[in-house]
Amino acid sequence: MLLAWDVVEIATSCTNAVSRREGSRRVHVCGTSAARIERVGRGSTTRSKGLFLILRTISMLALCVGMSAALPSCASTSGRNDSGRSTRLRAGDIELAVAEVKQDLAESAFITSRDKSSTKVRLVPSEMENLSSDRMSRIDRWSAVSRVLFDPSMQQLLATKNVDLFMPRDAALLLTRFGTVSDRDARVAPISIDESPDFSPTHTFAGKILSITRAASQDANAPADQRQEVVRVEYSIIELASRKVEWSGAHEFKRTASGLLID
Amino acid sequence: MNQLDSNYEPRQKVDAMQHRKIGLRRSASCDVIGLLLAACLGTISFGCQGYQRDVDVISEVRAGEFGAARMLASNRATRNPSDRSYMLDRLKVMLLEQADGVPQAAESSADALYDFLRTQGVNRDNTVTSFFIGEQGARFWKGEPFEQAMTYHAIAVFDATRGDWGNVRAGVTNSLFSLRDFSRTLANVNSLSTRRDTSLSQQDWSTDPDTAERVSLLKTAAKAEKSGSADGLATYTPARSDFEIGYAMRAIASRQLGLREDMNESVAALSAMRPEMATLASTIASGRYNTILIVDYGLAPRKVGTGPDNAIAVFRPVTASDSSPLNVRVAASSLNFPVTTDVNRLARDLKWNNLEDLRRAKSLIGDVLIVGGAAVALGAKDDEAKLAGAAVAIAGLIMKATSAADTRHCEVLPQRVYIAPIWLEPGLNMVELSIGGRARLVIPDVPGPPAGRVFARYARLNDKMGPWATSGVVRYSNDVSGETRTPATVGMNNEQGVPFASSARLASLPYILGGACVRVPTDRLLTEYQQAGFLRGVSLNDLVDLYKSEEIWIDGLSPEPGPRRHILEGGSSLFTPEAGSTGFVRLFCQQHQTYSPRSSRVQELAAQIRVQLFGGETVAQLP
Repeated sequence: MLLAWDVVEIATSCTNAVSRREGSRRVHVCGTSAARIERVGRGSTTRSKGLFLILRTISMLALCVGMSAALPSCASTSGRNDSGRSTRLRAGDIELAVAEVKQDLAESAFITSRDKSSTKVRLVPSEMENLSSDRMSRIDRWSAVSRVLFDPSMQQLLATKNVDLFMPRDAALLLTRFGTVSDRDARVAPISIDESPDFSPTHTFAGKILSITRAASQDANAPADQRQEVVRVEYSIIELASRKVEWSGAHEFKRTASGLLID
Repeated sequence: MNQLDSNYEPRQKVDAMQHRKIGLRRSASCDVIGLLLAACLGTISFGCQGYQRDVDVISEVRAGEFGAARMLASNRATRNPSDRSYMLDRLKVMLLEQADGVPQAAESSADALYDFLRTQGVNRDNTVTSFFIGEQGARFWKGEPFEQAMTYHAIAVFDATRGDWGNVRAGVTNSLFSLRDFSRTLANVNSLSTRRDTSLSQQDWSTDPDTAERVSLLKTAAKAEKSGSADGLATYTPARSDFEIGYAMRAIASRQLGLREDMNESVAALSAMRPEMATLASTIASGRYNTILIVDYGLAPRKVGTGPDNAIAVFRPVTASDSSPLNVRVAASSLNFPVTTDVNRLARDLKWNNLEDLRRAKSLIGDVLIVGGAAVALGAKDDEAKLAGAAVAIAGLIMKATSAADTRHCEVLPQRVYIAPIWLEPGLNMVELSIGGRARLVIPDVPGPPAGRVFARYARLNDKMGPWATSGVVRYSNDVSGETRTPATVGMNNEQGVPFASSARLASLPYILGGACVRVPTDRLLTEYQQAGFLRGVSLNDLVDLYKSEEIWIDGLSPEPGPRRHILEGGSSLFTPEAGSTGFVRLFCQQHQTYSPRSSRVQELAAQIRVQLFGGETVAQLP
C-alpha cells in the first residue's frame, strides 16, 4: 500500500511540474511531505540540464536493457542440456568409445590368433555396469556393448574366427524396440531360446563405465562453477568356465562444463 | 507558412524557438515519465505475485489419496518447457506418481529432472532480468539446495524400486554436494557496531529466529561491503554435506555394486554426523537384509517472504519435526528406525539455502535510489532535475517492488524420510508401518525377494489417511497378490431389502464384468477365468477388446503413455501399483463402487454373468 501511494504521489508531482507554465508559481505536493517549490527564473541551468539528460539516459538504458534481457529469456528453453553446461554423457561419447574399442578388439591377440578351425566360442554380451557418477538409461547401457559386437564389420570378422554371437532375449527386444543398430541393414543376432548345452555361452562380453568428478570455482570465494568428468569405458571378454580374461580394452575421455552448479 | 517566419521580430523568434524547445523537452519528459510509470506498474504487478500453494493437492496428499493428487497436479502442470516453473510442476507430479505406486509414469519426469539438475548456469542469462521483473518472473525454478538434494533422492528412489543400483549410486552421489557454511560470518555480527540500520529497522524481525539470523547475515554482509571488503556473502566456509539419506542410499547402492570402499566411506560419514544412526549404518554395512523400505511422512515446510521488502525467504514448518521412530512389524518381529532426514532442519539451515546476495543487493540498492531520487525531486529548483529525480525514484521503487523473494517451492515434498533395511521371507508378507500415534499403514502381500537379491519398496504416510490404510485385507485380485481370498462384495436388490452378498467366484471375474479382478489380461489369466466358469469361448484378444470397448488403458498393452486414474476409482486405467506402496493399499484394501459399463457389448456380457451368478436378481449399485 505504501509503495503504491509513493508512486501515485511522485507521479502527480511530476505531472504538475510539467504542466506548470513558465514564470508562474504553484505549490506542489511531492512525495509524502508538502513543500513549496518556486521556480527561480526562466531558464534551466546548464548543470541541471546535464543532470537530467544523464539520468534520463540511464533510466531509458536500464529499461531497455531489462526489456532486451527479458525478451530472449522469455523465448529461451528451460535451460536443459545446453551445450557446454553439462558433463552428462552424450551419444557421441559412446560412439567414440565404441569405435576405438572395436579397433582394439579386432587387433587383439584373442582375435588374431583364431581362425575358422579354432574351438567354437559362443559369446554373449551383458549389460554395461554403471559405476560412474551419472545416470545412464538401460538402453544406453545395452547399446554401449551391442554396438561393439554387432557392428557388421565386427560380425563378419568374428564369423571367420568361429565366434558365434548370442543376445539375451529381453535385451534384443529392447534394442530392436529402440532401433539401436549401427547399420540399417544390420540385424540383432538371432535370439537363442534353446537351453541345451550345445548352445550355452562359453564367454561373456562385459563392460563397465567409471568416472572421476571434479568441481571448482574460478573465484576462490564463489560457489563452484566448473565441473569436469574424466570418464573411462572398459570392455572385457571373460571365459565363463575359468573366469580368465581373454581380452580387455578401454577408452578414456574428459568432459567439462561451466556455469553455477547450484543454479 | 511557419509562424516563426516573417511576422516575428528576431527576439520574439528566439522566444518562440525556446518555447518550442521547452515544449518538446516537456513532451519528451512526459513520455519518459509515462513510460517509467507504465514499467513501474507492470513490474510491480508482475514481480509481486507470490507463489500460490495448491491447497487441493495438499489436501489429497494429507489424506493419502495420491491418485487424486497426482491427477490434479498433472492436469494443472504447465506443458510449456519454457515456463519458468515447468520443472517445479514436473517434480510435484513425479513425487505423487511415486507415492501412488506408478513409477512407470514417473520415468520421463525423473529423466527430465535429472537432466535439468545436472545443467549448470540455468539462470546465467537471467540476472539482469531478475533485477527488473523479480526472481519469480525471471528465474527458472531449480529449487533451494535442499530441494535439489531431495529431488536427486527422489530420482534415486525411482531407480532403487527398479533395482538399478548403479543409477541409484550416481543419483545420490550428486545429492552430496558441498555446502556454504556462514557460521563464521554470523559469529562476527556481535563484534560489529550496534548502530541501528534504519533501512532495515522498519519492523522488528528479531522475534523470528530464522528471519533474524538472515537479517543479521545481510547486515554483516552490507557493512562489510560498505567498508570496502569483498562481497560479505562470500565469507563462508565450504562444508561437507550433511544429507543423511544421501549417505545411507549411497552405502546401500555401493554394497549392491560390490564397491566396499565407497560403502565404508558412506557408512562412516553417516555414523559420524549422526551417532544415533550408528546401528542403522552398521546394519547397512552388514548386508543382513533383503528389502529396503524407504518411507516418507508429512509435508515439507512452506516458503514465505519476510524481512525488508519481503526480500528474505524463510521456511515455515507445515508438519512439525519430532524424533518419533518408524516402527516396522513383519510377522513376529518389530524394529524401530530413527528419522534419517528431517527436511524442516535442512530448510532452516543457512547452508541449505541460496540467493541471499541477489535479494539483498536489490533491496539495498532500491533504498538508496528512493532516498536519492526523492531528495533530488524535493530539493530541485528546476523542472528537469525534478523530473530526473522522480525518474530515479521510480526506478528505485521498481527495484524495491521486485526485490521480494521468490517463494516458489515444492509443497508436496515430505517432511521426513526413514530408511529401514529389513528381511522378508519368500512369498507374500504383511508389513505394518507406524510412526508414533501419527500414522499407520498396513501393507499386505509384500513379496520377499529371490535369494541373493535386494528389493527397494517406497511408501508415503500422512496423518489423515482413511480406514483403508489399516484394513490389511486385499479385496481385489491383482498382479501382485494374485487371486484374492476375500473379494469385494456386490449388492443385490430383492423384495426383502438390499442385503450385500458376495461370491468367492468374483475373485476370478473381471471388474468390468461385475467381478473383483483387476489383473492385466494374459493367456494364463484367461484360463483361470474359464476354469471358474466365466468367459468360455472367449479368446485373449476378445478379452482385451472388451477393455478397449470401454476405452480402458492397460499397463503393458496400450501404447499411449499412462497410467491415469485406476478404474476402481472411476478412472480409465488398468494397472497394479508397486507392491508395498501406499497406492497399492489404497486401491485394493477398500471397497469400491461396482463398475458401470459404457459399451453395449460389456453391458450385455455383464448382465449374462449376473444371471449366471445370482440367478436373475438385479444387482444394485453400492452406496
